[in-house]
Amino acid sequence: MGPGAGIRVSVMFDLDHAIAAWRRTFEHRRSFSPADVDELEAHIRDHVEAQVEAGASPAYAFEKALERFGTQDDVEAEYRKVFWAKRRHEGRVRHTVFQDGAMLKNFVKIAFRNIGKAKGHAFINIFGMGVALACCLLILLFIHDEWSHDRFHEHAGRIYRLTTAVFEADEPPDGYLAMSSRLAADHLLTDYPQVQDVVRLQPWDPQVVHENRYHDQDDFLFADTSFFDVFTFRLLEGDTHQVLKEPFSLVLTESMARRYFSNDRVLGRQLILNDSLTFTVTGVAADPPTKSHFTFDALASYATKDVLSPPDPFDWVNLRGNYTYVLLTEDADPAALDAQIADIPIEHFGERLKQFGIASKLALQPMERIYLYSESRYEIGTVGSIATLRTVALIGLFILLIASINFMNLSTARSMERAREVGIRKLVGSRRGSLVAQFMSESIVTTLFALLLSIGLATLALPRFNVLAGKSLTLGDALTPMTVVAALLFAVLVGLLAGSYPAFVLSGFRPAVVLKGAFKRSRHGIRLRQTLVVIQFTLSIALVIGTLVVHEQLSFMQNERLGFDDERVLVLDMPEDQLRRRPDAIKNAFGALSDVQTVSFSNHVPGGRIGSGVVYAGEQSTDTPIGIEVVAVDENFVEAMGIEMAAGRDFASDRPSDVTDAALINETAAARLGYASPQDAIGEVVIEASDMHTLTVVGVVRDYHQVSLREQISPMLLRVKPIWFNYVSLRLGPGALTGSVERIHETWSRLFPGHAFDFFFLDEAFDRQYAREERLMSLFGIFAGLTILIAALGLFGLASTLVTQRSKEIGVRKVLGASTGSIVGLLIRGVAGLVVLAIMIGSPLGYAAMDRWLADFAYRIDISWMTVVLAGAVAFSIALITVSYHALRAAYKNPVTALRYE
Amino acid sequence: MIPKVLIAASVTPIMLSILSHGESYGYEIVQRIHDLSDGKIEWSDGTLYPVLHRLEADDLVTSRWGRSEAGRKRKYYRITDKGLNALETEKRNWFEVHRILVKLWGPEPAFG
Repeated sequence: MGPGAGIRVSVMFDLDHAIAAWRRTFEHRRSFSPADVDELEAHIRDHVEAQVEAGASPAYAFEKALERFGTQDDVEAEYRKVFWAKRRHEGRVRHTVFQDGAMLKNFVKIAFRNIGKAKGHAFINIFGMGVALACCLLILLFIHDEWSHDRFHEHAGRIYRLTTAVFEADEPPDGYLAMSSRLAADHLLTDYPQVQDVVRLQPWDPQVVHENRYHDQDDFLFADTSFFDVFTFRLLEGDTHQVLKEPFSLVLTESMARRYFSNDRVLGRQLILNDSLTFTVTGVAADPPTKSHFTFDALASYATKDVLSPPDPFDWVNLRGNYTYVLLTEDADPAALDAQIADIPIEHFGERLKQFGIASKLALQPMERIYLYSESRYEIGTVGSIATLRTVALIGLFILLIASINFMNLSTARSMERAREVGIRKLVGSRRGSLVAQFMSESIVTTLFALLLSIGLATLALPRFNVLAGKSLTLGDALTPMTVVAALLFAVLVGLLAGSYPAFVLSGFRPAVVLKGAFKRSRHGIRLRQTLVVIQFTLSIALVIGTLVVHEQLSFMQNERLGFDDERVLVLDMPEDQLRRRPDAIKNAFGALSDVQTVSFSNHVPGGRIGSGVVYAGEQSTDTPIGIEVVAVDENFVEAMGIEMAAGRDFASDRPSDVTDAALINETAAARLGYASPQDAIGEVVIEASDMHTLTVVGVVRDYHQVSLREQISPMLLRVKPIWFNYVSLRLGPGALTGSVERIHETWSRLFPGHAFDFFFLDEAFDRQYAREERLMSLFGIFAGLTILIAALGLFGLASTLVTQRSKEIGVRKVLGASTGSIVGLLIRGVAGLVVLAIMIGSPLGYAAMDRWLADFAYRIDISWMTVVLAGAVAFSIALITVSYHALRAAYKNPVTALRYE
Repeated sequence: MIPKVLIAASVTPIMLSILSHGESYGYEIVQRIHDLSDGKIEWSDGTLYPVLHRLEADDLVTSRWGRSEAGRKRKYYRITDKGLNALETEKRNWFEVHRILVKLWGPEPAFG
């Protein structure tokens, strides 16, 4: 054997083991970089290999190699001499690397490699951010669509709508209606130079007779000749100034024309409406854009309306679904004009108005604000709500905030684990700039991946989102160069921000500090991440409360007593005029069915808005009037609907005077009219303004909800006016519904051959009013779920770090005999405090926000403390589960492994 | 024993010369030096590497990591143009000194 050089040579010599041991003696010396040690190891191996080839034994070769290598101290001395020269050299090299544009690719490559090395964390980051970005994308599409309503008109900025207030003479106006008198238009055009043009619209619902079939589903609009001058709708065939000039002219939309006439020419052809009115098609218009607050399938000339029901001075108060729009001149002053036109009704109808003790005012409403901001009653179409938009935007921001926080959190966690790497790199001369660049580029690459993922997720989710939002959005809407650039910039920005913390803070620390692990335990780092987790959970809790409250309110509204019995009532929408012509035949035909208990006629059923009218108490029409909703019903209505009487009696068929002289009012009307109790109203007299007829109150019905519980119950008056009847309501007896519907269908077909069977169930129709709230609930639920998901992901990352940090402590405890339970408890306690803090902040936040939302409902629930507690419990359990995963893993890990690697 | 100072001074030209013949790696260079000195000078392998590193820091050689035939990582060194110039300078210096000494001592006698 060769000379002992301090290495004990045993019989079982393991070269790799020996070399590894020899390596370790270098690894902790400052003068040797890992690369240096690699080089030296390679040298030893080469030397050993050469000797072994010449016949020596590995043990001997190793000893010789070591001998020739030199003493540790000598070698280290030489390395120390060149240390700074090497470092400076490397710094110079890195400096050029950084400045060389082509080497940027290198950073990206290393970025990818680093991301790949930490797949778990990278996945969470990308997924969390991707989900959040997808949500924001969808929300942006929604907001963009809502916001751009009505902006397609060329003169959009100058179009205003007339609104009317009808109110008691010496009171201030109490709200404006979207409708206006048809008589105002002419005066506006002639007397006010600031008004360039005026157009009136009135929705109409006639039956189209075509090829022996009746069609009921088209939306008609009476429109003045100026329609195409004021609004920007495309007219495909016909002259814009001629198409609506003559009475009984019709402009069809493309789709409608195709439906009735396939691809034939339509100009000059005729359509019969309501059995007796013959219209001539004078033009074809393009289908109106969906982003409009009103829509139509066909336009009828307003001149027709003047023929069918000539103007009457009473039209100043009987607004009957007319909407007036004005186009102002370019130099017009809307505010001034608004003041000028306010008293037009008084100017032209003032005397009569004074007699009734009411007043009427007009006001201008910018068309562009109608869709989102209008609070007028009786809108021409469905409107959106700026409140919803703001809420949705806020939610989007929340989610983005949470996800970004998460992103930064996890990135920081990763960097802390890489602190060692950072320390060593700084040691061997990494310039701070390149470290920063490294972290930033990793961050940006991750964000870009997330952006890509988000587009994919958004595309997948779009169909369901469209259903939820009631729209038909496409991603293409958003694909302008500007938005693409904006999205990329945004991703880069988030990447930069998220990468900035680890990049700047870590690279600024002295290597020794970082290497010794002191940074990991620094209060600075931990505090920040704890704050972030608390914020995330606070938002989650607030959203969960929101979801629960909306759900509860919805259930409440859907289950609350409506004041009438909505179950098993089938409502038939009568073909126009049929009820007028042969009421008895209809009543007998349906009444004969065994399935039908009661047959009732009315012009409205609960579940929809009713036009408002005016009623006066007392014989003298100078007595104070009240706004009232008038429903025309027959003597069976109250019974069919299951409405209760509060005083007096129902209409009776054996009292013919009921038809002309009797009225039922509801409790609210009785109170408004000044009667101390419902009983006091019996026998009193009222005047109903639609025909100025005097009616005697024969009964008072208990209040029932005509519309959703969002609204306060209005005063109502029921009278028998057969000429107004539209609906036949059938209360069905017990028995299978499908059978009943079939039999009713048969009867219908017998009575109205060629007419489509148009019916609905009262309870379903009533519930449809809650569509908006249902959608809101779904929205809330989804966003709450997403927020919790992202918050949980964040907590997952934080927990992982906490556990890694304390792995030594855990190891020691285990060795000393601590149970799994106590260890899990230890770790959970670390997190519990955060969640409790989040609960304490999030609960009042959520409560306050939902309280405000509920304030819009006339009938609302009180937010119970149970709800708040439930939200907190949900958050707590999720936190528990998230942390437990790591806690249990740590608890089961071999304590020796934890203790070995310091 | 040849004094350290002398050895130290000569390592640079020796290494540059070896590398001027082509790219080589650590062990190969070190072994070559041992072969050349015929056992007359005892070099510590470990102390030769820093010399290579210093040469690199001065941009006289460049290095790259590669793989041996067996697949092991290996650091290769190659002389640069600057290194070749430095080698020429070293040669001139040493030959100058040698000329002076030869003038004083005559050509190399056989030592006992």
